Amino acid sequence: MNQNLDFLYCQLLNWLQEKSVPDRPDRDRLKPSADLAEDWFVEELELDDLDWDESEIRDPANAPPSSAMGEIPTVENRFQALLKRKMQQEIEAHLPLFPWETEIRDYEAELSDEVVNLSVPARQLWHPQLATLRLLMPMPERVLVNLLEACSEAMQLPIPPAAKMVRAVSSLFPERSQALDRLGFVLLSPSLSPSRSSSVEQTQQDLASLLPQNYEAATIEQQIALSLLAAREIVNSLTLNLSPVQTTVERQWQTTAGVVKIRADLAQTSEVGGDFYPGISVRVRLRLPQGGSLNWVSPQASVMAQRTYPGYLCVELFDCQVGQIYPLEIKLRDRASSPLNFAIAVCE
Amino acid sequence: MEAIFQLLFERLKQLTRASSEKCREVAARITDEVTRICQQSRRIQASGDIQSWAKKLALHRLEQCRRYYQLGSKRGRIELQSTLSAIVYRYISGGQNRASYQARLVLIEDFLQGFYAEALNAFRRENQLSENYSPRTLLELAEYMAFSERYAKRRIPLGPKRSQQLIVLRAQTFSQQQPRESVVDMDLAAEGGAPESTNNWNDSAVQQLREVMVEQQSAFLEGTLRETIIEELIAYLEERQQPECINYFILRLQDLTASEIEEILGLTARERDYLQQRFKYHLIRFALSHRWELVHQWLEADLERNLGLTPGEWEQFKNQLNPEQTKLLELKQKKVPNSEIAQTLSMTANQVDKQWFKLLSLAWGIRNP
Repeated sequence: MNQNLDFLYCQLLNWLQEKSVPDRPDRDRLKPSADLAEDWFVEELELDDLDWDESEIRDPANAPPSSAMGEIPTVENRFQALLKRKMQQEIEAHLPLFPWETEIRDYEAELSDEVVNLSVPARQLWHPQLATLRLLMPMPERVLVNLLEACSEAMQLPIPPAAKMVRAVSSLFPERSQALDRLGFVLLSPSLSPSRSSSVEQTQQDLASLLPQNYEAATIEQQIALSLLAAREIVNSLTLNLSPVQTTVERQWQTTAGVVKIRADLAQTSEVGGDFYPGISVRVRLRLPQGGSLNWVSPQASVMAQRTYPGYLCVELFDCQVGQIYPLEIKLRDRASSPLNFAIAVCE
Repeated sequence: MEAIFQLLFERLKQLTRASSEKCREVAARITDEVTRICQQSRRIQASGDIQSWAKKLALHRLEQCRRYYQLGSKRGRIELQSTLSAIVYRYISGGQNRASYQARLVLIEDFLQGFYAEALNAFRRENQLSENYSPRTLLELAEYMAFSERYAKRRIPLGPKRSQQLIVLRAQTFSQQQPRESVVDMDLAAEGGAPESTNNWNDSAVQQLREVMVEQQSAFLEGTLRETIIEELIAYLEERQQPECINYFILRLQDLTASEIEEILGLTARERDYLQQRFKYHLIRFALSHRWELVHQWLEADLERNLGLTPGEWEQFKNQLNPEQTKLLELKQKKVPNSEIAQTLSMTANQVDKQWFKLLSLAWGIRNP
């Protein structure tokens, strides 16, 4: 490109710039005088101009006067988007504080009393069992109720128990995924599992000594820890672990209608015996305090059984695989009630 | 307005995990704000459809609140801080010295600290909350962040048909290195009381400011043509898939220093230089080929004005043309469409463009030797 075009380029750019920058620091800079109060506009404002930001939905006919300061919306918007992207990295490394804060903290996404109220008629039926949980300290009912809700949801997923607990608690603390992962890793480690109860009592005591007197007085981190431990209790109550060694598991769940009894048996036969069915099957028997149903789904099949009055139900599922988790839904006849989800885990 | 309140209340309950009580409080505050705007806005009153305006405004506020709620405390404040920082960036400078990008960031951070306090006061005052109210729950925090963003973007009228965003005015004041002590007690001022500082602000100061700003509004019409060209140039660069060139252009328009541009785009000096060359190439193509008529019209150098050349220069220009180029110039002056010119001169459309580009470059060279 020949030399004279350099000049053209500079000229063009200068012209284009000229009005794009309404008030450059080094030129025709706007100088509000020192005695302009911070608040001069409050009374001066015509409300027509109040609170119409750029993104306010509006009809062109009703559009407020534009700033007409030579800011071209296209340029302005692009410039701001560009800067915004760039600055976010720096801001993240150095988060600003709001006037009432002394440190960055998380704000509780309160447990909605709505969720509780909605769930009360729905799952209230299943709540009595919550009173039997072994907890480090008493926890507010609303927290437990929400945890039960979230754990029951998580039981439908084919993920390991620890993941279910973390998932359940994360719905209560939507902002704290990192803390959750960290605490979950520590608290839900096998060394703390009830099966190794020799050390569990000691660990529980150690934990208890670190915690405040009650849940409400706890920090968010402590509340997460307590919620995780409670979630672990709930998920353990809802999970029946079977294995070739542990072929029978029984469980009871207190409801407002009485006790639901569950018994799961694992049978493993080989072809050599010439049995009708070679492989692993699991049979589940239920004793219901009132009419209800049982629904059990696996990738290969699903079985459902129901009855109108109190009594027993039985289903059997074939083709079970070691390492698989099978959700099991139990519903009582009470029309307003939600089902509760259990899971049968076939372990090594 | 009861319906608006109910709508907001229900939505907040659906969208958040906040307690009914909090949802109720926030819904009531948004409803009050919207009611106030609808009552006092002449535009809305004149529209004859106050209800649908109220609903629009309410849902818009709800959406802002929801967005911050979902982002949460940490990401929400990053979003708010970066939004406001980007708005005030150009207006915050270290006094007389042009500050570097990093230095500006520090200043902006200082400035925004003060601004958040002001926004909190305004929030308390406008919602008749106690002087020590502060957000405690995530929903309240989201509400405050959404309010701060709206408050920052409020347009302050500065005379007929002119206004500016509140935060920009604040940033300009801040840049004048005002000691922050001169901040007026908002509540006092709102009640018409005099601030305790020695600053007696009054109408004449406001008047003065307005005059300054009105003066800047010259050449408005020329501005619209310039705007068109800027938008067309951006579209042209987009068509050619040159996003870096667009970014470079946008930053150049903001009158930033080379080092700031490098910092913002994350380039070395050398890379920026390459980018500048690439942008230059495209800008010249655009000006002498793609939209030459528009650009020349804007520069008052269109064909009617002999491409902006003096009579002497025009003669000199014509003498340098070969017969084919002379013919091309004649046809262009007669506004003959390109396709016809191509036929007449037995060229492709592309060749016509190239020839014309050469011609315009030549004229430009004569204009600016």
